[in-house]
Amino acid sequence: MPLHLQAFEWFFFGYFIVIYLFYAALNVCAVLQIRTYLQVAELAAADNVFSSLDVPVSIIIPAYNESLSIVTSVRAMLQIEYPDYEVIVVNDGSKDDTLQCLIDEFGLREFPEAYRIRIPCEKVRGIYRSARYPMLRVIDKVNGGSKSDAVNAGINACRYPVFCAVDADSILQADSLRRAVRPFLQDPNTVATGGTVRIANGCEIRGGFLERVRLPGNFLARIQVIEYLRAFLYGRMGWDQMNAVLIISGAFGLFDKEAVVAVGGYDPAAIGEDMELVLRLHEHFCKSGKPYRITFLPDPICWTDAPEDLSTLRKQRIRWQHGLGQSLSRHRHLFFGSQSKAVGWLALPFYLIFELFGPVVEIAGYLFMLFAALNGWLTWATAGVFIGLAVGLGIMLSMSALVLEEMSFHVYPRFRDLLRLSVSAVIENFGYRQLSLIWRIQGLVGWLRGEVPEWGEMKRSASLENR
Amino acid sequence: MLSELPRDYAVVALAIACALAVVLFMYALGLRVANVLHSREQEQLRRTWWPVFAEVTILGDEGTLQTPKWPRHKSRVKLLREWCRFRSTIHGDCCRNLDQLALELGLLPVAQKLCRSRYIGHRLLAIQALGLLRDHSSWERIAESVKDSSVPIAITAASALVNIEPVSAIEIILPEIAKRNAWPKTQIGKILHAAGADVVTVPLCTAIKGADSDGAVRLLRFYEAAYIKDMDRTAEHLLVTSNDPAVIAAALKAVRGDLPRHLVERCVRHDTWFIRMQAANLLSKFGRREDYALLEPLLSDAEWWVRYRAAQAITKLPFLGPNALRKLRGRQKDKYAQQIMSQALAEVGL
Repeated sequence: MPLHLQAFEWFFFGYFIVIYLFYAALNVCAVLQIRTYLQVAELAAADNVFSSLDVPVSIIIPAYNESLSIVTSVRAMLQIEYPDYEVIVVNDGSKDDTLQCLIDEFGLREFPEAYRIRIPCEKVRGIYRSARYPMLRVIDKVNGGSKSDAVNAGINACRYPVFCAVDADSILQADSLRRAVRPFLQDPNTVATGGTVRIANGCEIRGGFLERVRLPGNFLARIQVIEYLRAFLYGRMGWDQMNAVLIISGAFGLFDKEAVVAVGGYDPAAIGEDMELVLRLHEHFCKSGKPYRITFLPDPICWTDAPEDLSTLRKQRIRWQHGLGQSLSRHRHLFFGSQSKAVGWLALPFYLIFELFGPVVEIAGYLFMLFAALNGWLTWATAGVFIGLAVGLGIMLSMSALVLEEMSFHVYPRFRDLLRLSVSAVIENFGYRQLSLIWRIQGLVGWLRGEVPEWGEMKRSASLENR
Repeated sequence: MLSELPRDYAVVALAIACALAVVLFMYALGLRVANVLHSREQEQLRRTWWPVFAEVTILGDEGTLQTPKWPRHKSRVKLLREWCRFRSTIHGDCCRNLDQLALELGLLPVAQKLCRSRYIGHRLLAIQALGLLRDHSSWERIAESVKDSSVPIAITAASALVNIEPVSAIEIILPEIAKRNAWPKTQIGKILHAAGADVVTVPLCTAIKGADSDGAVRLLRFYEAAYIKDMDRTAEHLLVTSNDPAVIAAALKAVRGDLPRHLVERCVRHDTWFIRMQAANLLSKFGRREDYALLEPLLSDAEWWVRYRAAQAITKLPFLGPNALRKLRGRQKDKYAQQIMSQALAEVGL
């Protein structure tokens, strides 16, 4: 084999070894962290008393054309177990009767609120208050073209020091807020916290709350259960230990209001607005030198609908990769900055090398090995070693996420569920993983070419349809 | 060279990866089985012992239930956990019988031994149990734990000390509260509440006066744990002596009774907005006629929160009826003052 091809060969091998070593290290961090967390959480769970010293929270629900589900979502939010909170629904210029549904259901009346604009957003047309539920307010605004603009309008209306941004179709548990607010109570330097998002497909949902956990019947959704376990349980849990969590899911996240206002709120032009905001918070606090903490909770606190068809899933993955590229490039000056700590020295380079460009290297690796074997530059055995290792290590990572799940929350109660998840963890490495890599490359190319990614229509799963 | 690897290597690599995946699957399966067995054992313990705990608590020695067979050694920790869970739900004299039962069952030595464990879950359980059993012999060890770098350990130890001997415990805990920012205030509030105002008031007020600015702010958050009069006097002292805006604001928040008018006036005109806001808040508690003149100018304050609290305070003044309030809004020349008064009036249904 020519020397430069040998160099390629070694590069691909080296890359795979390093990426899996990194993942293994994150896994170890997550295991250590989760063990301590669970031991302490047991005591905290018993300590279930509310007091006047709890942090009051504003829940912001942006809603655009949500007339079918908004009433159920708001009803669920109004029943959350928490002593002091308010619910702010932002009707982002819906074209359907979202606002009218809310007015009829909750007895809303227009209210002369002295609305102050701390973060710029589209014009607010009116503010409504519920006669029956004093903690509920609805902001009716002109459509700003993004969820970020709607959340910013909600932040302007917040009364409380901590706000929780929730998607209108997020499914919560009655104790979600109580669990998620814990880092704010335990560490006054906490500026943001997010929890594990799980897949709601297949679960029994009643009145907007999760009633019984079940595995999705749809194979594609089941594979995403494994993906989410990997991404949340050992991905973010591992980074949490280094205060280098880069993503707090837009589906459910708690933020210190003043910190978010100080960085200018959500960016309406950002594709991955959740990651972009977290990066801006990191940048702000790293630069100012003030102590801060962005925390990740392993508790399953929010359940969301996963796409059940390839077309929607493809659009979602392309959008995510596009958002990743955009966020990383916008905050490129954080890389290896003198004040950037683990965020700039570990997390960002990791995301750049392994998450953003990783799909390109992995697919190129597969193609190179096949091409080289076909040309007789290397033995089929070597190509087999490479592909076998890539697939085998992928299976191992998925399995280790399952182990972590069993060590911690084991939310899927039946033995059958564990078996089906294990089968999915194996099968996803044959075809699905490679397909998702191709989508991510498409997202990367789209971002490099400055295209605007498609959102597409998300078809709701049966679980969310019947909630 | 990589390119010259024999075919066997491919098979071996695949076999290793597959074997590891199988091992991990078996491990996950093992964890599931262990978890199911653990839950069953816990459930069994609960079903056996909770009726005994309940009867002992209510009837003492007159109970009719037989004490179940002494659990095997491994289950003693689990029994201790169940006892702690049950014991944490009850308060008062009825606990005495339950504590006696724990001593008879030999749970005290179990807890004392666990207290030396390196496993944080066991240490937490042990400290909690020793506190509930009021084990004076473990005082030193628990007092050391209050200074532990792990917040859950420190807080559980603080709670245990208060259970054992509240007066001495408060002397140990208060300096830590003043020093450590990371102690969750809800739990501190609970601990101070458990100790009672009789025990907490004097040391808390003394600690506030003696603390530096940060410490005073931290301690002032627990003003509700002390008697109103004493805390008001402490807050007044700080308002006279301190120039730190955070301390002044915290002191204003802590006032629940009365305050000399000149001090409030000074705060209403303070340069720092959150002091003006707290002052407006305080004036709403007093509801005095003479304070009206202090509140009205705040409606045109540059800061939204000051305007809002001033408007809320004005709507709460007992001597202003709906018409007077509407007139007051009408005579505001400032657009923002008018807006905020409209909001405050709408909030009270006017």
